[in-house]
Amino acid sequence: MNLELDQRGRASIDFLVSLGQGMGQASAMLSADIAKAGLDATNLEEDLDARLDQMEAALSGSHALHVRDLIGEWSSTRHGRIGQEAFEAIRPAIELQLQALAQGPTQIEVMAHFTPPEYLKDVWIHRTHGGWDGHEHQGLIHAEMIHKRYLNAMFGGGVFDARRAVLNNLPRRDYRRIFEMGVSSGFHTLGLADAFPEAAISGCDVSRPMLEQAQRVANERGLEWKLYISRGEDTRLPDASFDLVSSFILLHELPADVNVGFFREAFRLLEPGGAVIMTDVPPYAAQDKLTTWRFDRGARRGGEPYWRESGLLDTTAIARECGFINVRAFKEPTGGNYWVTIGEKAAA
Amino acid sequence: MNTPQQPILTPDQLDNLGLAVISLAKELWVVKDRQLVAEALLKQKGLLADLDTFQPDADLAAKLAAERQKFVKDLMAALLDKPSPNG
Repeated sequence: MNLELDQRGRASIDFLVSLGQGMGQASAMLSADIAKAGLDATNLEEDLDARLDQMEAALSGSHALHVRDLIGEWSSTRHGRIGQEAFEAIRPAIELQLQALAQGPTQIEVMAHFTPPEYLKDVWIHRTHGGWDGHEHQGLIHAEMIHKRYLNAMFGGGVFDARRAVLNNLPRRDYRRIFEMGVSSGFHTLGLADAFPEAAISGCDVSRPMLEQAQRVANERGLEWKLYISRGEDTRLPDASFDLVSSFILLHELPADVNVGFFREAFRLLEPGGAVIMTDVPPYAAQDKLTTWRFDRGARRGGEPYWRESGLLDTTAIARECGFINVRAFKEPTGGNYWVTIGEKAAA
Repeated sequence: MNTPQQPILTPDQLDNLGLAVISLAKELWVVKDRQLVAEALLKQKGLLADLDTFQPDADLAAKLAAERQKFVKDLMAALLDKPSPNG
């Protein structure tokens, strides 16, 4: 979809982007304040909570830290509302297009056993106003207003390329039956379809508005995806029904036990010789203490309730415990802050 | 006796004040953007000179009033919102 926003919506999102990019000056000042306090990655507390306290005490007088917090608070609590407002302004003009894109080869099925997960009850991931089901078109709003126009600009324009690039790390190029856990609005699904054009693609998500956007993305291109409203850790799909299972930037939104559940379910869903690829943010163990402090603190304020417990996991150990072989994890070599975990299921 | 000077806002309202300032800045940018777009359009049609002397009719006056009320409502929300763990 290539939506044209009205002037107010466009200018509001432009402001969000510029405000976020304008944080660079405050970030540089904060780095200087940290150095002035004599703190660096080598002398910070080992314990994460103690490290948070240590830094708060050392930086209590940092003007830059408070300004960053203020801008972060405003951006995280307003971006969802701005996106919704921008959508409502053009809604009458695109209503027919939305209805048309609900028709086509890609359809959505609600799994009979599905119940919304407790771990997302009353949780607004990223502090997105209303949460993923907080607006009937939250998927479109998040994808078209926030992801394409705001986050992509904030991350230098490469977030869509990364969703395709990570797949180059896989051991085979001939996957035919692919399942994605946590389809969201379908950006990574599109990367899978592009990388493996001959494959039948299926996926699940717990949010209907998100899957409805993925459905539009697929139908617009004439693609036939099978989309299920289901939890990734409990799909109830048949054993050994796929040769590749993938997820992208999802694990950190899930509690630790659900992270494990995703790997376990991936192993069950894979046929012998198949592979799993889970891409997420780097774990705490792969980053220095100062970097983990920045992300840990940001997550606590930015609607990332499971960031720490997920980030403390060792995905390679989990994958091995679930039965995968040839397990490896590494930072995506083409750039971005992505951590790729790949495992294979032994051939029969 | 003059009215004694006394604080108006309490310290716990400082965050609201900061958020309200950013909300105002965003609204100001939206208007500034619109102004530049409108002036470019008016210039294309040779109407830029009429901008300062134009008087709103009843319909436009009502629209301005409605927009103004929304503007104030958003500002009040930023000032009055209690901190929440979500958004």
